[in-house]
Amino acid sequence: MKSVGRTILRTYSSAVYAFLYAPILVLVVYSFNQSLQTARWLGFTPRWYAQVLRDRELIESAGNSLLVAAVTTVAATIIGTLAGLGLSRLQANRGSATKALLFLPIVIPEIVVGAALFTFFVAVEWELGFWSVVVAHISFSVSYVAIVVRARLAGFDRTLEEAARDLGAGPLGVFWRVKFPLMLPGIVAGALLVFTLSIDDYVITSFVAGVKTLPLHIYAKLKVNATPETNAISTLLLAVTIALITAAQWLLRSPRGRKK
Amino acid sequence: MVENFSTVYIAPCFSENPAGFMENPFSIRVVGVAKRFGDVAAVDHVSLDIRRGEFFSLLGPSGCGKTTLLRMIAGLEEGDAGNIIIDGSDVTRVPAHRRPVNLVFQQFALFPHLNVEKNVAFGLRYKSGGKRDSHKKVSAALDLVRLSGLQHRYPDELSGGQKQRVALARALVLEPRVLLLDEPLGALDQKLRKEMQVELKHLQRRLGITFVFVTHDQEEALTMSDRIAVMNAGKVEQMDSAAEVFEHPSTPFVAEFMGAGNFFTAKVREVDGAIVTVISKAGFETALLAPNAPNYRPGEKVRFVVRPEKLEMSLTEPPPADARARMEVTVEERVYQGVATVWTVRNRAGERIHVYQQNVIHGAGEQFVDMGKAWLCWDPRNAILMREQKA
Amino acid sequence: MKNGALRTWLQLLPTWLVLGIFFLAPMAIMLGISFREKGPAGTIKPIDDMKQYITKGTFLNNYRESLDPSYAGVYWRSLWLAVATTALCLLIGYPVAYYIAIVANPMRKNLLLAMVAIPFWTSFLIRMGAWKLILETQGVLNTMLGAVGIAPLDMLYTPGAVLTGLVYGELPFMILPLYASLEKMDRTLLEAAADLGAGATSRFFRVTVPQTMSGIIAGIVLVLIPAAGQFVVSDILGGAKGALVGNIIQEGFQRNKPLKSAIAFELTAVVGLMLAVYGLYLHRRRRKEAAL
Repeated sequence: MKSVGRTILRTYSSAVYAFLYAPILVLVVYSFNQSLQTARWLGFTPRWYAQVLRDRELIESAGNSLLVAAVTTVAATIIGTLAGLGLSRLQANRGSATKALLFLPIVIPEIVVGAALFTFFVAVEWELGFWSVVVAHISFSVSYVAIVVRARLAGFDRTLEEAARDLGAGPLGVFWRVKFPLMLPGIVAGALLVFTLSIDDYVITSFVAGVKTLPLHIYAKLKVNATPETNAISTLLLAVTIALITAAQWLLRSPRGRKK
Repeated sequence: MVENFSTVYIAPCFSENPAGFMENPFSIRVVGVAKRFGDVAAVDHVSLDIRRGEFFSLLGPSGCGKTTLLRMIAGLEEGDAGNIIIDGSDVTRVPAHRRPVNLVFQQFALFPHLNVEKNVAFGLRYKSGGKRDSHKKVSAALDLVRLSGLQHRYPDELSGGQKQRVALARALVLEPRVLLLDEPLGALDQKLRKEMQVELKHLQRRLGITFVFVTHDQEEALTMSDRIAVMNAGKVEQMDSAAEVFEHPSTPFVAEFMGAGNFFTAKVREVDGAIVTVISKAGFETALLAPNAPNYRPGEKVRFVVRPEKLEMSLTEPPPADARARMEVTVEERVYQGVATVWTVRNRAGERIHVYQQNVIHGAGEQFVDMGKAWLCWDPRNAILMREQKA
Repeated sequence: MKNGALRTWLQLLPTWLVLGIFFLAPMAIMLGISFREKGPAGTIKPIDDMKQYITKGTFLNNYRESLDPSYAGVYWRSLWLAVATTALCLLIGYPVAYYIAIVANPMRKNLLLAMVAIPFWTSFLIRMGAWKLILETQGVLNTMLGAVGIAPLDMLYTPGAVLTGLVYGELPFMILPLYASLEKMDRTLLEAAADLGAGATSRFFRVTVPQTMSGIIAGIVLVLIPAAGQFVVSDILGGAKGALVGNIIQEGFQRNKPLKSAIAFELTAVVGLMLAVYGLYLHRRRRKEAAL
């Protein structure tokens, strides 16, 4: 009886996993399809990739996206880490204004945040361009880093700090030799999250962009039609994402090797 | 406070530290130290002197202030009043990282991101000349705690006992003048605990440095310490050698905490020098030896304590020629513990008494029946007189 | 001590600067604009007489207009799609979370969990594009149906397509909190319930569900709020007939900022209301736990 339930659950879960991954698989497969118009399989071709790589506009927008994401990640990680540190120092019942401030950008619908930022830039006559995108991205990313870092520090054992002091470490030694190394996985996770959010953001960027980013470029194409070319772009982006996650995992792997 | 230099004290291994000995016989002096947490006085104007090279224990129930006091000596807690003097220099305002003492934490506090070797080497870079031969020093420290060969393990790959040893090595490698230990055996299981008690004691003898040990376990404190300060509610109740604290508790709290347990209410009848004669509530009269006898006045309500193992139980009343004190009791319960049998009996005043009887021969104590009569007797010198104060 | 407070303040300062200037100020400006009247060509009409503007209620004009029956269809669609998405995510997600947390081989747990989270790390746009490719008239699904002799169906640009996209996008956010609460659940409770005579169904509804209520509620909040404010899914998969509140705000925002801002704040208010209810739930729960 029990094993029947097990089998049903396993089959069901497999179906859900199939649902999660089928569209991605379809994308990858069809990026190699010869047919331009239909989903009928007309044979394998790498030519859409060649086309993508010749697409000047695409390369340029990808460059913009990378630059925006890089600047955003550095800035939001520094600001958010500081906020996480500051919050972790406060007692549980303090700093509720800051917590609320960090919470809002996450829960308010992106469309509202985008519209508000657009209104703001128009009102203060800030010309939409590269920097308008960057500051918009920083403002919606800081919260994520702050929350991840703070969560990491919440599990931080205060006696470690005391042990370091007792062993002779001054404030700087305590921070750089104990606190920072233990925070690092949180910081890297936060940075990775910011990078992903930034490079993927369409909604807010569409309101404040003065430069074309990759999501804007893909969106414009998708809106018209899903073509083998958009599939190829998507597959390339997927490959980059997977490479990034793997790299991050490798960087964050525990130094002792055999530990999970 | 006037120092009493006439007190001759020879450190068990003063040869290891002759210069220090000449300077000052005290390793740590705590003078009128106080610390409040909100409304609670965690440490209430405590003064104590810890001698160089001794194994000193702060003993007391949880919340008595012993850990707070230890953390103040370490510099991890700032006091509200008083001074802390380590090796003759006042360190009250010196931050933790500049004090010549090191602490072994209750939960070990090993750095999870560093392996054993790096954990042990952590403090060396802050010590002048510490970085030189640091590798050798770490190995030596690990040898000392019998933990060689685990240099590259991480804390989460160690057993509780191994973590304990790393924490110890990490502090000892810095050659502190005083090693502070905050219930370091609390996280270990019973068997390992016993082993570590012996090992710590040996280590302390060998190194000859002062150990200040915090524990709530009276047996542990007795096993290891040269001297013990029993603390209660932020104050030191008694500070004496281990045997003295055990045999001659000076307050009801200490008596109770050291497991004496048998309190008898009585009234002073007569004071003759150091001999105080009292009439117990149960009706019998007994003479007690009280060093501070002149303080007692006839008619005063007092208590005296007799430890369970000092009592002897028999079916018949001992002959009058027997100089021992005696009382008649009713047997209520027996608990067989293997090595010994613990009896619960009640006297005429309704006072409950525990009697600890070694099981010398098989079937000992079978003559006593539940609710039957029996006689207890004891050497009056083993009864300790104390005032009727807070229990 | 004073030193520490200063340091904490300095650490929080950059966040306040960035979010103050680039989040709070924009929201405030937009709130202000939602009370104004639109001028020609995307401008804001100046206020002639402030007193009259307030007393006559002109400042509420946009909110009044936003409640015009002509928008009712969009609001209704947004609401039911958000609710349906949440319900479907819960129904689809719970068994999966249960499988990962309780049934699956513990050695495989992390892998199974990572596989739920990985789609989140890939571009949302790309995943919606994939659904477009699948649902198109000449798309993957219709091609497959054609192969077995079924005429092509109009699947794209329907509420069903939007619902599929929403469920697909939000499912991980439901499974992860459910998993967390199932994982934390004390398994011996199930054994105790079985010992006391409860059958599998009764164990599930009387023990498992109440024990994982915090995960269920968290999952609902995590899915409902983003689904309510969605705009990309409906834009790509819903077409003109599938517009949601998000699309109304986005479309022609520049031309009629006051009205669209008013709608944006109404959406924010709805989200705020949901969060308030959630906050109340958490507060009660914490009080209950504290009382135990």
